[in-house]
Amino acid sequence: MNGPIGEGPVVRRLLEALGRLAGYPELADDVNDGYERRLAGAGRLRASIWLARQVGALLILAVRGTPRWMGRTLFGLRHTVRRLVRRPSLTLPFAIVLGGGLAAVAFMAEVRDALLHPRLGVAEEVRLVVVTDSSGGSRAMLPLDPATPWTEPPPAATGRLFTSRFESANVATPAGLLRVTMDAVPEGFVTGLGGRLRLGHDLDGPDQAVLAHAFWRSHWPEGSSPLGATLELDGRSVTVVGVADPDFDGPTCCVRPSLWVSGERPAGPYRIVVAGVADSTAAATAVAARLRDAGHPAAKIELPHALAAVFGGENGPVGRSLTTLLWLALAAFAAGILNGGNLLVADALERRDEVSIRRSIGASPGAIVALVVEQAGLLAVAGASIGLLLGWVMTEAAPHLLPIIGPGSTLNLDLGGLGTVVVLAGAVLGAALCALPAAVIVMTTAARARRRGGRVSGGLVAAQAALGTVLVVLTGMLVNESRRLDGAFVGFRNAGVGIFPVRASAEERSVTPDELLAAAQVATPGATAALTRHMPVYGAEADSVSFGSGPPVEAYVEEATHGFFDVLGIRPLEGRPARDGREAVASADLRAAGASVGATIVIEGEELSIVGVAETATWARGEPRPTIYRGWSAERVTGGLLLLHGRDGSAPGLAAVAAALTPAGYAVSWFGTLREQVVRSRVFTVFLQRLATLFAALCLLVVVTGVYAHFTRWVKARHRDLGIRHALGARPARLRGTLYVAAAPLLAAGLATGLGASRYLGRNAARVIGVAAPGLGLLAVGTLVVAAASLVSLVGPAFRVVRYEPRRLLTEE
Amino acid sequence: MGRSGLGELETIVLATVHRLGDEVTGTVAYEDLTERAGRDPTVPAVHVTLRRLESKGLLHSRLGGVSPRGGRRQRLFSLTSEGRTALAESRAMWARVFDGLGLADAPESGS
Repeated sequence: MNGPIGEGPVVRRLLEALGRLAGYPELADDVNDGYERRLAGAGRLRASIWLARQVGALLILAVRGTPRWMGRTLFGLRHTVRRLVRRPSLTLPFAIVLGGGLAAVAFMAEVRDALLHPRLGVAEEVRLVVVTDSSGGSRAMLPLDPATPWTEPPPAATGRLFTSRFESANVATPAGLLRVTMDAVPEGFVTGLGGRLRLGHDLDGPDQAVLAHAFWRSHWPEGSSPLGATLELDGRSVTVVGVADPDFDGPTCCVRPSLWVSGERPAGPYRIVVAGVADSTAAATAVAARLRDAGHPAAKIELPHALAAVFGGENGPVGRSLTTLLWLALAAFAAGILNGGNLLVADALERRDEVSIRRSIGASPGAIVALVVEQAGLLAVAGASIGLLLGWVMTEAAPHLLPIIGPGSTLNLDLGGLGTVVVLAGAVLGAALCALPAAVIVMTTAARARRRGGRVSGGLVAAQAALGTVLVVLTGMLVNESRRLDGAFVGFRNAGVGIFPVRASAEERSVTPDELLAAAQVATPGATAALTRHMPVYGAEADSVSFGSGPPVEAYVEEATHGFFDVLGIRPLEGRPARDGREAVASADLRAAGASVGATIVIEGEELSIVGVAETATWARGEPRPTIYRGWSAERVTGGLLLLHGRDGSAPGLAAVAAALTPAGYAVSWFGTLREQVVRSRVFTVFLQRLATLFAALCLLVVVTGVYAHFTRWVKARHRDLGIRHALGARPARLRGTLYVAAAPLLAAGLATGLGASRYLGRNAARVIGVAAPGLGLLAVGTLVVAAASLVSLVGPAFRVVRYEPRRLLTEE
Repeated sequence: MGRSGLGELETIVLATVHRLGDEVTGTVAYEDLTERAGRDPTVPAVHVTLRRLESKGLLHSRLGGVSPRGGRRQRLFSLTSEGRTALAESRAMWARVFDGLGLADAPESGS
């Protein structure tokens, strides 16, 4: 047990399931409460011991409630359990290879689900609509029951209508000063949306805060309670009154708040969350209209399908890569089943004497097959346990693979739901598939069994070597693709530039970019400043532009005020900065296309004069980023991105900028530095690359374990022959050679098949997911890696060849 | 087991519910009896005992609201008049059993 039960939904769900089975559904909550009390008072170890006692008692209670036949079956399984405990050479490799495959599939299913289908983070039974005004910046969801008729939005007094406003603030935690995203909400927000509190209670007064579970776990010492602590949030003091359950994130798909603070109907843009309405666009629109009538400025409703585009959806680059990784995980699972089946075949061959005796004393064929199935089932349970353990380790490690900066961007994985279902279903499937060849073997006569078993076993070793090769090559393709896409705009020198989104509070307050810039410069004397329309790193889209009568070329068009180059540290090479929208500066690599001072350029039918040339910025891998920097000064705007670069290279603080712009009617927020943006822009390519590498390692582990287990049993089956030859004077190297000779054709056949399959599958996969097909180099590296890993896995069995005492074996013989 | 038909844990649980007054949750009863009686039964054992006492008519229960932290509705237990009688009988029985043995009181735990 590694923490509060609320942190591990698997444990809580197990408790709830056992409680229901035993007829005491309220027990799970009571055990949970008792555990927390002991965690706070007696420490983690004592609390865990106490919890284990309760689970044991609950288990006994649940088993007592099961039918009598189940008890008899459990008793019958004892024999098989004892047999497996005495054979670690069978049990451990089986559990590892099957568990490894199961963990890979469960983990990938969870990652894919978490990234492509973000959860709402409120209780499923709470039907709600999120209404946001057009500048609120939030995504809204309608997870409502279509069958439920439209109802009036309940009044605020019932506690079912909530305002919500995301804000950023600095907060001092025991782990240091942090920038956090907080959600200002009314009293009763968490429980009103069906959420639960892990510690303390919900907001019930002013100046209170409820911490998100992940925020508490990350920034408070283990076992310490934050309740009663006072937090300073940009000058505002709030008292921590609760910690939310890990399942609760509030109605948000993307930015997860670190804490919820008391706040009623804020002055700026806010979201309205209404619980208890029907699921339809019409219903949601009606809610918005009624709310507008009631004085809430709800102007826009976004529907659930908007969520699909979070990471480009299923068919986006991230979605395709994740799907490919899921297929790789399934292949690792298949390798696990091949290995498991192989181990059971070898075991069935060993059991043929026992089976003959059982049959001769009257055991039915069904009873013999039941032995194998029972054994496969128990081994699958062990595999599922390892799978859950490994899956848990992977889900815990995954957020660390995701190099995201800043709050609210964590990868929220929960193996307790989909992952556990996948592991359990996979374990049942694995048990059935692994038991099949072994059942065939035990039902044939001894001599035929030996021949057939030997062939099946050898074939399975070759198959897993082939599969391993395919997996490593396909993984290599993904890694190559991730490296190819590992592009981020790094052609600026001032990475510490701060980015501040600035927005007018009303349309009529629109000003020119230059005027807005002047107001911002008042606040930060000495800092260089510029205003852009798009995010400098990746905001601009590539457009087709043409110089004079030349052919069109692709270039990124950015709109920025004249200080842009100074702020970002891009050097002008000739000419001057663009003053307005009719002028532009071209990057130097566009010279070949005709860019020079005095040239004319056409963008979407509009003619612009090139007034300067600046050095070319590059992507991370040195590829030039052809860019047209268009002037941005006269157009009236209501906002933009303010870039500020202080004298000392750092970004000025939000407080100073806000102090100057807020009285003038502009809302300012802090987005981050350009350096952080670069890291963010690379997050998923880096993440996919690391995931792919993790999978390659896992696949190799499965293959290596399988080969090791197979040949260990091969040696064990021949220990008498090998020992006698040793006693008669055969040299150890020669005896080991017999092992390599036996392994070589199997592995060679597997590697050759894998090489061919990798080439074929790689080309097809490349076409499907839009990556480069595997070249000869990658194919060779993939094959060599699997070959090397297989040879390493033979080292153990090779030592076993001469480990037996020859004299004793000779005497026995 | 006395004439009242109460086992030791049943007696302790019944006394605990009586002491804590009406509408006692399982978890409150558990925490109180572990602290006061110095016993460490499991939570499931206490729940089983509460239900058994309810089936004997010595307690009655109803579903209350959810806790301030949300979750499932809590089951609240109260002593019935039969429960009160059974508790008194049990006490009287133990008093008769130990009467005249001249045993000194056990020292307070922790002293």
